[in-house]
Amino acid sequence: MTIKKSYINILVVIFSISLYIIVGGQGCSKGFTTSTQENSPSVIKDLQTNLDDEENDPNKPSFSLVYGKQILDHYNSCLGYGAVSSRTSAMWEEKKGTISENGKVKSLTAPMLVAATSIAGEVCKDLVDTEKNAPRLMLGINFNSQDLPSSNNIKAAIRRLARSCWARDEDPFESQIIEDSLYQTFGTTAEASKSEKSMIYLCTAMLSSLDTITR
Amino acid sequence: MGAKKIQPNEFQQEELNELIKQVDQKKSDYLKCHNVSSWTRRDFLASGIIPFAATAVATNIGLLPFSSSAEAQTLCSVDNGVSWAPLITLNLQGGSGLSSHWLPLDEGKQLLPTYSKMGWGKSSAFSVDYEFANKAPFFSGSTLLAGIRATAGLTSLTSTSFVGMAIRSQDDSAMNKFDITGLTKGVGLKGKLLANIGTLNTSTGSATQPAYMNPPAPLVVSRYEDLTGALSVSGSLAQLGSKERISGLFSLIQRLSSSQSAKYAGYNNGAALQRNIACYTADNTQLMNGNSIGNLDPRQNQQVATAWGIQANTATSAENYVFGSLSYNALMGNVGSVNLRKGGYDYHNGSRTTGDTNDQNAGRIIGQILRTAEILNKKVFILVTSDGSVTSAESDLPGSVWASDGGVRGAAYMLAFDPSGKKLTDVSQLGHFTQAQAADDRTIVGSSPERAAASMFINYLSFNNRISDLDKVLPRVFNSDEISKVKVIG
Repeated sequence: MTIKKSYINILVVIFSISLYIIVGGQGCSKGFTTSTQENSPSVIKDLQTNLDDEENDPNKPSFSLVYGKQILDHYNSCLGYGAVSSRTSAMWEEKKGTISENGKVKSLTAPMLVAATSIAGEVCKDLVDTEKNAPRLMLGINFNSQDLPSSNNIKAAIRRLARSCWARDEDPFESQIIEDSLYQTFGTTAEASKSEKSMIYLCTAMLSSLDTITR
Repeated sequence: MGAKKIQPNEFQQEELNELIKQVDQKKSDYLKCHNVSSWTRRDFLASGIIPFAATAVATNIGLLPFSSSAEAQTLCSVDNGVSWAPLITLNLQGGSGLSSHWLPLDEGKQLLPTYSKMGWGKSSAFSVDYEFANKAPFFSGSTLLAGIRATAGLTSLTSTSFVGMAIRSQDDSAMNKFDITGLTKGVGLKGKLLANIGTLNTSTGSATQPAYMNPPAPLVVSRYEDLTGALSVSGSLAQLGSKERISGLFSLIQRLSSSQSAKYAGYNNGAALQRNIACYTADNTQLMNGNSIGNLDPRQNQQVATAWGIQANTATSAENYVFGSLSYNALMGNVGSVNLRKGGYDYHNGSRTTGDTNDQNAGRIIGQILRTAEILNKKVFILVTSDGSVTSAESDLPGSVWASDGGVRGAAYMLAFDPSGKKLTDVSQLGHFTQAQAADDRTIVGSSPERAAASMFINYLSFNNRISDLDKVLPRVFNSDEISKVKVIG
């Protein structure tokens, strides 16, 4: 009976929650993801290719990945800090060959996500450089500190970045895993520019996540 | 009873704990906000936990199959579409005399009386050599064929079908619409890692223009590091510190994206998005952990390295290293299509030497691609194009020097290699030459590189047994009669 016991426990938990949902019904409560769904759907035109193996049910909402040069423009636009640095433009040039040019789900590749992350890293560096002089999204942060910013300041930065680039508030799960990752990755040892690095890390993760690169 | 005890892996356990914690948190938040201590069904509904839980459960159920990197890797390695043969195009920029190696025939498939403007003199002055599975005719003494034979290997040659195409094209111009990488992407050719690669910084990655459809921007590779660099982080992220930090960043992106993908379940292509995000973010986390998605270096296969002459100290920007790397990765499925551009083909300098040498080098590359496909036991479709051609000083004897451009004598090649050795065609020529030693511009392919490219695409589809996909990207370019005339491979 001990065989598969742990696995059965998992299934029991999942089944119980699922059963509760079915028995309880959906009622009229506002969904966990409703706000995002209301914000993001748009009918995307077939931009370049004609892949009719893409699902195109008129009764379902559609989405697209940001594609081509849109990625850079989209990052810059959602953060709203103005001109792109030459360093960021150079990164875009270096990585553009891996980025989808039609926004289709089937054009997504692992290197495209690496490219999006690399470009996001430069955009976030631009942001941090701007925030040092005129804080707007990362308030109260001493970028010269050798320690991580306070939890409150991290949470506040997450909130503002989420509203800017996810068009919604972050949910507690997202906030928690970002904070946990920061603490785990950067540790407690003092280090030059740790605060700045951690904010680039946080910003890059959020900009590279799915909700920023879909529309 | 000797059965193996099954344990949830760390990721699964962690996700479930997180789920339970979040449900508790939601409940707690609601009770606090509404200043109540008891918990009714109405409260439960109003709190939004049900849809939250539905999402969370769906997310976790959805993620369970992908929870370990190895499992995700396996999932991602499964091609959920058609398995396409890679497309490798060799573009010889400047106007190679392709019709002076492959022997073009007239409309009745007979020798022209003379090839006096094509460097070979009267038909009685040279002999004919036959090569490939379908016995395509070549001028005996062709240096291009000699190059192929020097590197391809006998099995490669007998498992390859060759078709020469008589096409007029513009001399010394990068405007000829020979590139079909947009069309092939349109029907679904893409690599596991990269869609298409070129070696020249243009929209096609080559000295050609797209035929009918623009391709995605190619990754332009001029050295091996360009290939690996596209799959790694650099710049400001490299300044974050240790490798563990980069790995931590990609792990965080993986978790954020996976949780966010749940909401797209009811969208068009939502399931594909969830799968791709789960697969590719897991791939990237593993990659940044130092576990390479796959070794891209052709030197990992000694036979392939030998075929391309790549040594331990070969410069990574050397042509053989770059072309070898790109061909190897195309054949390994990492890249969908590759455009190899080679310069030096505007060689009408009053001698035969430069042209013969450069064409032999082109032949060597074709042979190396075929040999690599043979080693890896993979199908491959190769195109060879150029911009225009050459004209020799008129002579009844072979060996006359190249004197000027000769776009009316243009040609292109299609080569289809199937490791099974299956003979794919008996035809070795599309279009034909006239008595004036020029490509006949009245044929389907003769006057327009773009229509010729469409014919190449039709044969690529046919080689992949997917001719039915033609209408997806090229509706009404050819009528059914024309299609049957140009479809010769497969």
